[in-house]
Amino acid sequence: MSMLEIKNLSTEFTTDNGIVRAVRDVSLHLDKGEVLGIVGESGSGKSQTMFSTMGLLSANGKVVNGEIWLNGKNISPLAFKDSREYEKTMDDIRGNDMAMIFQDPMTFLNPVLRIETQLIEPILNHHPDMDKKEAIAKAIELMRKVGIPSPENRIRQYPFQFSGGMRQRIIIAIALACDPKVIIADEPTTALDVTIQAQVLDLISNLKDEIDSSIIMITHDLGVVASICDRIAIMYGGKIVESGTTDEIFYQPKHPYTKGLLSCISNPEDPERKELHPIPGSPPDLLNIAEGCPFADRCESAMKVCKMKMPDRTTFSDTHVCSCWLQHPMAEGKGE
Amino acid sequence: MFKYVFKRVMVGIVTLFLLASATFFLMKLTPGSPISSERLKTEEARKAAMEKYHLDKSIPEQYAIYIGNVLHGDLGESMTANTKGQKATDLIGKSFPVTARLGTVAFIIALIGGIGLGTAAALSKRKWVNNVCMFVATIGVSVPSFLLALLLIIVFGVWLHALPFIGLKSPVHYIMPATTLALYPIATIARLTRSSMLEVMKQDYIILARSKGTPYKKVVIKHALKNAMLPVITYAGPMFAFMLTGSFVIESVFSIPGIGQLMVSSIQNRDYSMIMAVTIFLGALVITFNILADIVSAAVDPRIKLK
Repeated sequence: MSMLEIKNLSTEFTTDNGIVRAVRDVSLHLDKGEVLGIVGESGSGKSQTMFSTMGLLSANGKVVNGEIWLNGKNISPLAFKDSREYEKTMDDIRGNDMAMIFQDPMTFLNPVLRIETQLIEPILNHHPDMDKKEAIAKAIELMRKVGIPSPENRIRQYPFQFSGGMRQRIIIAIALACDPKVIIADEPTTALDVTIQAQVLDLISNLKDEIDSSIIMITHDLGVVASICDRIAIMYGGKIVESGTTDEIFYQPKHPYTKGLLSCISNPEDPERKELHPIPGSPPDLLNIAEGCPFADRCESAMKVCKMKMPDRTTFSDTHVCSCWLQHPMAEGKGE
Repeated sequence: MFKYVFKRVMVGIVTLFLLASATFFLMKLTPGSPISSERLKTEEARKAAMEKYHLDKSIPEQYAIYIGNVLHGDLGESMTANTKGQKATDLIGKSFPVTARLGTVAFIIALIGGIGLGTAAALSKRKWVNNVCMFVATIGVSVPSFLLALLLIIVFGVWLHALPFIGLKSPVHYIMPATTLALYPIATIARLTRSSMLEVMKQDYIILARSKGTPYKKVVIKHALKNAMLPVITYAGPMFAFMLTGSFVIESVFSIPGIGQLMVSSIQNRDYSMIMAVTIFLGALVITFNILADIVSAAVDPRIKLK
């Protein structure tokens, strides 16, 4: 059963230079108990897809098409009469049914409020009958769960008195406060030291099992993906170009971009992977982006058709789907 | 914290000493004297007065005597005919509460009005709200207070007979002078609040607060306002001090016997001891409120450590 299903989502940003089409016709689903990795470089639209889902887009961003089904309810802003009704519904959902773990522990905590205030806020938001004392007790329990020593004392402190890794644990505790069924983790380890990264990832996947939820893990780190994700969706230029189980993506990649990403991982033991092979070029400008495959400009096997028309989805298995002209019957033998 | 306050107070005392010294010598450089007025016609009377106030001695001697007196807590007495012989501290004690009450009322109006306007301008989705708020702010900094005071008196006092405009006898009397006094601070606070609010609302912690399911209004009040107030507090401390020092213009227009009036009449009469006393008093006030602003900032923002 799908916990979360996104159908044909498109999100646009109005800027001084024109309209930026950050998310273009993205469809994905998250099953119960699953960890779905969304992989892509900066500006590929992976974070904005999730901000659209959470209703946390900045003021100039707007969902222009698509449906977002959470627990059998369409929570796309387009499904509501007006923004007031949408915000009211989302205030009930955010932090309760669906929560987000953010990227940068240094900037996502309010510098002038105590940890206590910030941690009991989601609890009180969604349990209005609970009194402050109970909420604090629950918050201390949460802090213990995420591995913060002597939480009774530290809860009275301010964010600047915590280290980066500890702050990220607080951010995780805030997200998990109401046992959400869907957790969206937006590059939760990017801003951390490598040694802390592994701890935080372990923590997230353990807690996920404990509270029986599902995770969407946004990342550009394939190492993160390999260790905890069940399925992977590869995003490029605002579109999902390939998706499949972790094994399918790692061992039978179909899209040239996926292959490119995999060859960016160095492996000192494998002579073929000793050297890094960066993908030449830079990601497309999503401002007034042209028709056709967004990766065509950087693709070594690009054909004429690639720049003219977006390829259809080709299905390889129940789980493995790829959008690339090279998979078209007429392109057989090319791009190998 | 105590160490910090102690240090600031010490520096403040040195500042006051320098202020007093500079004022003293500038005052002596100014032509005229408190006893040159026509009332002391006889030579003997003048001589007696000169002796009494040590005006027959050299200026460095006078300075030494004055500083000595001040260190003993004696700020001297008025030399002007109609308040002659009254202690400077008593005169200040009489006029300062009047100014302080008016200043406090104006300060509260300025804070509420400025923060309200600035927040509305920053957050309203309707463009005209922003335009109206910023128009008020522009008027506030560009219209001189005497002009506004006169306009208010003509419209509400003379034409409409709606508000009294002489003295501060009842709460209603405060409306016009306090509004006039508050206008410039309202404008400045509104601008400060607006720009810092816009900045704060873009911060990541606002997104996190919203991701908890906290309604927008509560996010603004609980998460944004406290952060947005930091620059306003830095400005509000000294501003309050200046409001308490009184405005001669507004006190004259509305016939309010406050410390601004006292200061200017002392200067006009070359009432040496009064000039010095009022200067030292107001200087101390400004210094105190700067220290207070720092303490309040530290209380609001835990990252600020007073060292």
